[in-house]
Amino acid sequence: MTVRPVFGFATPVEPVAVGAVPQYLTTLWQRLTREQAATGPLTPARMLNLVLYGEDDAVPETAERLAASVAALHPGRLIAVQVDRGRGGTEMTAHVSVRCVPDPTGQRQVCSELVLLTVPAALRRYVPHALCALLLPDLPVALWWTGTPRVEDPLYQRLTADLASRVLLDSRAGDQPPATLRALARWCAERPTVALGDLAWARLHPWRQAIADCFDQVNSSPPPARIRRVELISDGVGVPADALLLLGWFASRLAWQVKGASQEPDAVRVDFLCDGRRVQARCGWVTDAQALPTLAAIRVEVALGSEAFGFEVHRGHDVNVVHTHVTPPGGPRSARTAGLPEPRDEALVARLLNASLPDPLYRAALDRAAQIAGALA
Amino acid sequence: MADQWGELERNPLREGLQQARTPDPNCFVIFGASGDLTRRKLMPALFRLYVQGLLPSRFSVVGVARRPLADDEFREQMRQAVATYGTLREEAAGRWERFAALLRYVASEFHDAAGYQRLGQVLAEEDEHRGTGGNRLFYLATPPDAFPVIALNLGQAGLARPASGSWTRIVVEKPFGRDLHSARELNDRLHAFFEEHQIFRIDHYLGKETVQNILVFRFGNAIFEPLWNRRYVDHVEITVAETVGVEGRGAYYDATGALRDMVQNHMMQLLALTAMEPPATFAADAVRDEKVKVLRSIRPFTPEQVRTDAVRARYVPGLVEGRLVPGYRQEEGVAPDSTTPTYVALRLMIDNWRWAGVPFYLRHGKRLPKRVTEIAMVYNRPPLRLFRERDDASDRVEPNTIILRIQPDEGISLKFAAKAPGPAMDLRSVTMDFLYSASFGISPPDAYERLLLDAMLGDHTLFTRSDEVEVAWSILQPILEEWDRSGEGMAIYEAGTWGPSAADDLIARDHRRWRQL
Repeated sequence: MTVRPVFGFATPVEPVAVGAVPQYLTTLWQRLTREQAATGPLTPARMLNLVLYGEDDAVPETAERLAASVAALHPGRLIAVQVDRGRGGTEMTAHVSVRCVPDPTGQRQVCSELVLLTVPAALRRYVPHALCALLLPDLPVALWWTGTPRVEDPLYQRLTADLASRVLLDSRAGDQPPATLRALARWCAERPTVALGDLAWARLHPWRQAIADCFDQVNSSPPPARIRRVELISDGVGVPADALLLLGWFASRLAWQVKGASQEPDAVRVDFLCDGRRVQARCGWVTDAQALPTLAAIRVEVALGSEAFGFEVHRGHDVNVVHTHVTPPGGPRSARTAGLPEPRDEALVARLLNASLPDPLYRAALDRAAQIAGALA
Repeated sequence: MADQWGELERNPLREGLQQARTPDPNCFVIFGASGDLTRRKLMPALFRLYVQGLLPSRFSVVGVARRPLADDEFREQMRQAVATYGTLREEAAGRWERFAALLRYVASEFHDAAGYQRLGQVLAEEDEHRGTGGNRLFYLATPPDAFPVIALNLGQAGLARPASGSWTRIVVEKPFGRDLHSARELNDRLHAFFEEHQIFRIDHYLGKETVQNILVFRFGNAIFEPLWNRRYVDHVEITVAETVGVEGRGAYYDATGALRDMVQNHMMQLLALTAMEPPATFAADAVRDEKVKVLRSIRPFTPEQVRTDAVRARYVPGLVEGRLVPGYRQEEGVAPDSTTPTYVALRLMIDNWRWAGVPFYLRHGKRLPKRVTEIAMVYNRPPLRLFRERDDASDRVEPNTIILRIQPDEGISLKFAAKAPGPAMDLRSVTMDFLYSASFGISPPDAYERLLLDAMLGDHTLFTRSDEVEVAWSILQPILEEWDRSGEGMAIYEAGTWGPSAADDLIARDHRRWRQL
């Protein structure tokens, strides 16, 4: 193990036999408690079991960053499972350490445990067995499935059915966003009680906030029900999952029914009906950009009598902010800037872990996004 | 926009978002804009709200104070204030220039009617240029004697009444009066021009997350509330201990004293939240109704009880946090023969079904050894001393205690007995701790951020109502009168100690002692 810890205080990363991990941690805690004079007061806070699952070489680094992000907010035990599809053998290995971060007062350190479990390809299906022995009792279990969401994968199904009460994934990570969203929507429909956290949805929060704010900015703002046109623009080729989710959010909140969708060379068009009124949406993209397409801007046009009320929300050049421009009829144009969440996935995971119940808004948006994806198929 | 909750339903896109509602466009007017409160608290809080995107985009701040200043000079003073007392870190510094553009300044004496005309013109300009919609929030960050004259002039200038479809609110800082009579008079003067729903009386303790958590702890859990009554609770201690002295406010404090400065407002709020019945809903008036009810149940002090159940004291030189500090009478601005108390201890009884017979001990002092604010529910001992065969064992065990720590180390602790390892049945007190910082990993936001936002949103839940203020004063009025009438009974304590022996005697008469903090 060569990963460099990023903590205020960390024990060395030690290889430990998988079956000996619980006893090793117990002994380690006893030693740390005795040595508090040297390290300062330590608080072994335990609120959560967090399982990180991945199949690429980045898992150890991701686990380090994740531990740094969640250690203070959701202390507990982090078990990072790395399935090495290129590795043979019949034994799992574990590397264990305790990581402490100063609490906001700076007077004590809050400590979590990190277990990195390396799994040969042949033992992949036994991952749930190994986890059962490693989880802290009586604490909720959250699973972060990194990479492409594969809800049909038997391992995913076992982990989510038997172990995890919360599941985190990124619907943007797949190379076929419409197919991914449809599969996710089906999976959610069969599991109404599972709290699913979608990083793509979490990234949309500041966009949703900025859009909602636009309707409260002037004394006589038109209600969102009068939206007549929405245009979403993405960087990269194709319609990203987050754009579809945002459109699904509009549709679910404002009771728009999907009437049809069509594909163009640089966009898709979606027609909605709401109380007999037509609402048009266009999801376009610029073709010079990144590996993963992402939402870059949204323009909304709202009917206000014979006039139009328009606003635009777009990502800033430094990508960490969204800018909003509102142009109400007869009023001064106003601008506003708000922060976007940390771009790092680990920070989003830390935020999503706050939710322990299914998010009905997300599920409704996902359903509509899946309908749109179905209309495009 | 109308000042109504119904607005929330109008925007279905808001549901599920972190911020349930953005305040309406408004103009935030600060009277006392060059003062300490503005520099230390208000402007840093407003800037933080701005950086977090929690202010409306159509917003402006107008500072009003006596000193002649150009807008740019005012902006520079506020930038320095935010840099000193707030968060003007590098990433936020870029936002300062945009925020500063929202600031304007009006120089005026608070009694000068012409100044209010100028203010009215500036507000009209802001409405026109920034689209603030005729909504105004007047924040009185001034000495309390200016409250009535500002309210009067706002009223006479026509600034207290909102235009159709707009709102006007006034925020009043503590102290709200200096006794029952003056509090009633101030209420009357405010009500001459403002409706009660326009008035927001700030008690910044109510903006603290840990204070709000008292209600969550009690009414959001099933296991504590059944034990929250006279059947199980032996007594309650509420402590607000400060290490600081008068910190340059000698003249103000000397005219105020510990009872008015801390007990009438903050400590009465802590007591009310601790002892109140569950409200029917979490709506502002439902919560405030219950607080008023429990305050009305506090047994009135007779002159005799003032002598036995109220202690006042003044600190003399001593050692605090490793350094020698002067006595109260040697502080700048304090009269050398001052009789103002810097320490108060009270024994209160609540005559209602839940708390009959349970004393509430309150203590507050300056220049005490530690900065601690906490509420301790001390429980009855078990009915039978089962482990008496080791006589010293039970004595070593403290009664079960739930401690709600407001500051510092915000959190909750539960003390209970456990068997010490070994062959003997040896009992020890152990503590189960919940620490906000360990469990949530973030520092709670500043109380002023929450309160300023709530005032702009029109949410009264964390503000005190006129009857609440008056009933709190009515509890303390007999103490003030008896202490004014009788020059006796002022104790002294050395700075850096836990107060006078008279306070120990007060609780010792009930065969109890103050918790060791």
